[in-house]
Amino acid sequence: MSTEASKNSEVLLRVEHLKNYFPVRQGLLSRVTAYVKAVDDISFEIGVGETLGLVGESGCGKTTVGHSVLRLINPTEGTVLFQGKDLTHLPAAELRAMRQDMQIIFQDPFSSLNPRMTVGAIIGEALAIHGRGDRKERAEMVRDTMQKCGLDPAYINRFPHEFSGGQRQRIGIARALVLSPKFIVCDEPVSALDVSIQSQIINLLVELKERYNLAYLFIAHDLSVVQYISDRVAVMYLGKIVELADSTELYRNPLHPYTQALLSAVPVPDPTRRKQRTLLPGDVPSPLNPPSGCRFHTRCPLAIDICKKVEPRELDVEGHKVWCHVVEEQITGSPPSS
Amino acid sequence: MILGLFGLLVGLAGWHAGTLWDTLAHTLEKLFGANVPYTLRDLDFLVSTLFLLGMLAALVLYSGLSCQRIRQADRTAQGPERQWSIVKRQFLKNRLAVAGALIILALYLVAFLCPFLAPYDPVEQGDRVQERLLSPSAEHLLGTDRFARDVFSRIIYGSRISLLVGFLAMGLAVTLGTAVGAVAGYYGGWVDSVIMRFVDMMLSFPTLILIITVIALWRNQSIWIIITLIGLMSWMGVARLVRGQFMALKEREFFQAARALGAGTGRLIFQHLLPNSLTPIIVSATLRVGNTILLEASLSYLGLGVQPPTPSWGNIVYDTKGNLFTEWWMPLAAGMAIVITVVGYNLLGDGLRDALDPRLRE
Amino acid sequence: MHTYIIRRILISIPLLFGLLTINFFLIHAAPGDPTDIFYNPDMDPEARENIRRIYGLDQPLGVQYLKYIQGVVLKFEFGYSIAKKRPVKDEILEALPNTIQLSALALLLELSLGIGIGILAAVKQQSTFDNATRVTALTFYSMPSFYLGLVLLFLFAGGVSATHWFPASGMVDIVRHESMSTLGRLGDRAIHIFLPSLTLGIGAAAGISRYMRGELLEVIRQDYMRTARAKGLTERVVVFKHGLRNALMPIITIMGLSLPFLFSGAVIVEQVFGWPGMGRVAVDAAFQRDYSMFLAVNLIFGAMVVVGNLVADILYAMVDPRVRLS
Repeated sequence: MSTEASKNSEVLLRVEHLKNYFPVRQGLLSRVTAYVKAVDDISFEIGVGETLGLVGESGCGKTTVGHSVLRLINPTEGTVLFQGKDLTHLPAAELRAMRQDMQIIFQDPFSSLNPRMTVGAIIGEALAIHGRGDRKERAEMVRDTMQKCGLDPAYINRFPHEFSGGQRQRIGIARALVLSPKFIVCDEPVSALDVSIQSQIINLLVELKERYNLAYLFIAHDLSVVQYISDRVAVMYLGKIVELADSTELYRNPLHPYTQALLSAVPVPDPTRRKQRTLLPGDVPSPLNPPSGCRFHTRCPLAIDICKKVEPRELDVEGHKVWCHVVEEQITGSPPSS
Repeated sequence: MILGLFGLLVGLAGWHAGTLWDTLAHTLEKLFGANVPYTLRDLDFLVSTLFLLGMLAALVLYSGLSCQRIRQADRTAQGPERQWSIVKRQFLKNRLAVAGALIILALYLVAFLCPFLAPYDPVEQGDRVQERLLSPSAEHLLGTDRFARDVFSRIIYGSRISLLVGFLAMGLAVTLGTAVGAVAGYYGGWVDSVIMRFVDMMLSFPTLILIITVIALWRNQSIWIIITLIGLMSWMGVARLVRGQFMALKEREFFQAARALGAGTGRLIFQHLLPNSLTPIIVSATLRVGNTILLEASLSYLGLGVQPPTPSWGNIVYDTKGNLFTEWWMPLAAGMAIVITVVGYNLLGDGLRDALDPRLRE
Repeated sequence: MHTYIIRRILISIPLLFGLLTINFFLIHAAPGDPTDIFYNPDMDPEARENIRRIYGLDQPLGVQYLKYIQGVVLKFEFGYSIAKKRPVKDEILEALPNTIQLSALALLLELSLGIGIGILAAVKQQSTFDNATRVTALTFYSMPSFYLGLVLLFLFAGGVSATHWFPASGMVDIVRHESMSTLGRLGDRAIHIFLPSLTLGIGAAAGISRYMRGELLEVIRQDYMRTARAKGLTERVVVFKHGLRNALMPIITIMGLSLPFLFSGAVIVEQVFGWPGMGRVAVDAAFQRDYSMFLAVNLIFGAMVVVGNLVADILYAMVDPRVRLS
């Protein structure tokens, strides 16, 4: 635990044993017959000004994590401590006050802006909700924030449909930034954008983070985007974190076979280096009936017998955490006990 | 020309305001007196109210539009085309829709200008011996009925009933339906289930028969009761529509963003969900007006609607259907007025839908 | 699939009870009472009470309600019609088949005309035929059924002597029907039902054809239609095999939903053509304030709608594999 949030000693967000189960109803009386375990017991921490990358294939539950952390959906179990307060059981009024410090940027810049509101109204809405300033001051703050996010303040009365995708994403960032929060969930903020625009947005996010000491939970489905912006990276598979380590450490020395497979898919801008590609067989299993034991065993190239039966434990190698029987055996030298 | 038109409107407004004042006391007395059949003066009151409200709405709309135009002028010329102008162009391109709009406009004008347009008093009976059941002529364009009343004048005055019923019943239905649908869609879960089962049940009643039941049992055929009943039986479609819209919008990221900002229920509904549901609500409201008019006409045709001597198109047909094989022009002309009006509303609704629905836009 | 059907049936039962309950209390909340028609101003108050006792109107509302439900559910009894002086059941059993006959024929017309014209209009989109049918359909859709009935009456049943082909009212020729041969009787019935069912059917068909056209156009835009064309299938196969199947499914639901309108229309049409069905019974009951008759009429129409929707939903489940599997 000592190496958690290594850069800053102060912990901003601590998520413990977070679970999100969605009931599946069937039959005559709509009885709950099963649960989709979108998020199944995950824990992590984010320090002040730190960025945690959260990576996984689509459907692995990473967006659910992002929404649960902000309590946009109520977690089934677990605690989310933000600045020491447990959000999961906070009364509505207190939660609303807390929202000034934690915000979210969405994936789709076309669906994330209300088409009936002007840019000024969209960005200024947060100020109106939390009663900051009067009309004039608010307009000034909106203009100011637009400028910070690389938007021309003259566009304040325009409607979202008059902007390009990249500009719209900037509006979304301005909306999250206007209250000067301490923490922002970035829910795949660039995956819907053209590649040429992606780097601009990423650069903007990095710049803002350094200027305002922001902490990010940066969700993405490919490692290359996350690499650049994150201090630490967590890899998720089917509702569980399989590996969590310092960004540079993870890329240099990926331990989990799933992380290795993901990394081998990242293109390297070096034609002389021939990579060995690990291709995963089959599809992601349904979270409705996740495989027993280690959830990755159905597609794992290294799977051994025990993987089918026993869930792997957390193995902490100097702050580099991994959940894998095979790795555990290699490192500790002893066969994993059941 | 615009000044002249404006002068005309102001004049009309003044005239209607006068009528309004004149009939207010009379109508209040009516409202609280039991079972007094209402008269043409009540109608004057209603129509005047509507007209003044319409004027007010037009003024607000006009000032809003000119504000927008000024703001627009500030912007660079090569900016993307305004959403509204696309809609306007699409609508004007659709000739049928424009025709529908013109029909409705004409209906409104006729309803407001009844006293100037109708050559005779619609209820005053002429000489029952000499002027009864006359054929169409220059004096009586559509002849006279068995009480020697001028049928043409009666049809002109009948437009008021259709206008009122269409407007008020639809207004009631849309308000009620939006409220119910909004609650079901916003809260979801068991609230939604309970409400939607109730909507299903309401949809199972054959509307006309239930209205007949209530009207017959309460022995009250005032236009208020009829409009209320029609409104109370027509909101279910709107409720379903609004619920569906809300459900879909709740999945959109801007709604989640507003929640993340800490927006409360009121703001979420009135700032985010409702404005984005307005387009389909307006379209369905327009398409529904026709149905409410048809419902009133059917009631009147059964003799259970608006009571004579007040003319409504439905009760003119009811009154004169016995003359179908001889003085056929009377029932057929009154019925034709209904058809034209409802066609107008439906053309307008179709046109609005085509213009506002981006899926159909090339 | 089976659970779906069973659940759908179970949902219908409270629906019917709700219908019955609302009706019962609505009618009893009305001022006045059904024995009013026996009264005259100088009637002995005791005689009045007697009449009320005979018809069970002196009992508490709750008791009347329970007795009524018991009668309907167990014995299909709907009480006694005071105005008609006979059991409601008899009156209903006489009128109901006539209405069903009329509505069924109208439904048949509605579907065949509506779907047929809708398909043609969609396939020949923007053609003269499409535009003409669109305007025609809109006109009929916007026409009150009594007006269409009167126009047809005027044109074909007496107004124009050259085309006086059909009788103006009734189900059979009252004078000559008994003396006709079997074939003649059938023909007599046919010419009597023709205009009413046409009136009822055309109005509904207009709505269906508008819907069908829109639905098919929507389907034609889909990618799988383009794929089918790209495979080299003929236009006919594409439209009828790939397009129609998908466009027809919502029509089943619409058909179920259109039943209340069909029945409402039947009330009017029966009035126009003097058809001795449930609509006539309903309007008579309205004017005579015949409580029990009303309850029965409302309940039966409501039940027919509920059952109609049930059948439509089950049909839909059978056609749509997505519902079938879940």
